[in-house]
Amino acid sequence: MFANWLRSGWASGRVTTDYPSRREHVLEKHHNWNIIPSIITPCHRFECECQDLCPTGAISKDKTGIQLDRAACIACGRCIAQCPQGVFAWSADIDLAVTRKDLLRQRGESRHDH
Amino acid sequence: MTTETHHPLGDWEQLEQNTAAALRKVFHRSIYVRHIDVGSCNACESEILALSNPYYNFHRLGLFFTPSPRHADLLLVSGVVTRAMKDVLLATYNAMPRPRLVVATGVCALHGGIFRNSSWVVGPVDRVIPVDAWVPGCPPTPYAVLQGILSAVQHRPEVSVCE
Ligand code: SF4
Ligand code: SF4
Repeated sequence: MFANWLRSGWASGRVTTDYPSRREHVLEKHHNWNIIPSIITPCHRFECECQDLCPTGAISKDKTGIQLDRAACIACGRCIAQCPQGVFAWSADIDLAVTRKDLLRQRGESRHDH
Repeated sequence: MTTETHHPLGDWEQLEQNTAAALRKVFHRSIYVRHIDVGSCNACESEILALSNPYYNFHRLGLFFTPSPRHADLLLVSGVVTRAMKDVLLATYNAMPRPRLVVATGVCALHGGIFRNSSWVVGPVDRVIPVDAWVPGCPPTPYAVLQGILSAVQHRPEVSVCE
């Protein structure tokens, strides 16, 4: 087993990741990872119950649209599976850390808002 | 011997600057991390531990784990603060030399996550101690933890010694 690891390491020529010095390269390689949901279209439907569906209350809705608090999302995938409008989609953001907590709140703003 | 007008080591101000430059060179981006689990499910620990394996290899950036908060520059907190661990977290934080940085890791530490309604939970980490960087995810990928530590370190010039 150990010999296999050594051989695969030598064959690929790389044992250590090059993040963050070549961040784009690493992001490219992980583009198909399902890390966290992201709002891709705005939503104004009040009849859905995605707020109650979310186990941690990360989704909220008000007059301005839908909001996703990524500080609360545990990436269970329920919202993606249940939303009939396709508002949520998996994103591959591997570096989400911030120095201000409110930056983690994502809004689905409507283009028709006044 | 004649009394020297100049100090043998040269100008004091110059010496001070040289020493400061040398120290900066020695400690450049080198940070000792103390990890504390205040009520996590251990998935966050598994991801944090992955930082020190050969693949993520955070030692190449000058980051190291230390077993004592007395030697630590940065406190990595995972999990929601439980009643039993609140005093321990405060004691650990108070034992650290200043300036000190705090990184909250995982949804539990940021918000409470799936444990937020438990009666044995005090709340997220920022209810107990000030936090410099937030790492979302349940559990966060080691990349996110690494980025959290690095952004807290870049935040460092803003941290005053006297707080
Ligand atoms: S993935 Fe789960 S926790 Fe995250 S917003 Fe969707 S339902 Fe909530
Ligand atoms: S954030 Fe998720 S993985 Fe980390 S301790 Fe909490 S429940 Fe576990």
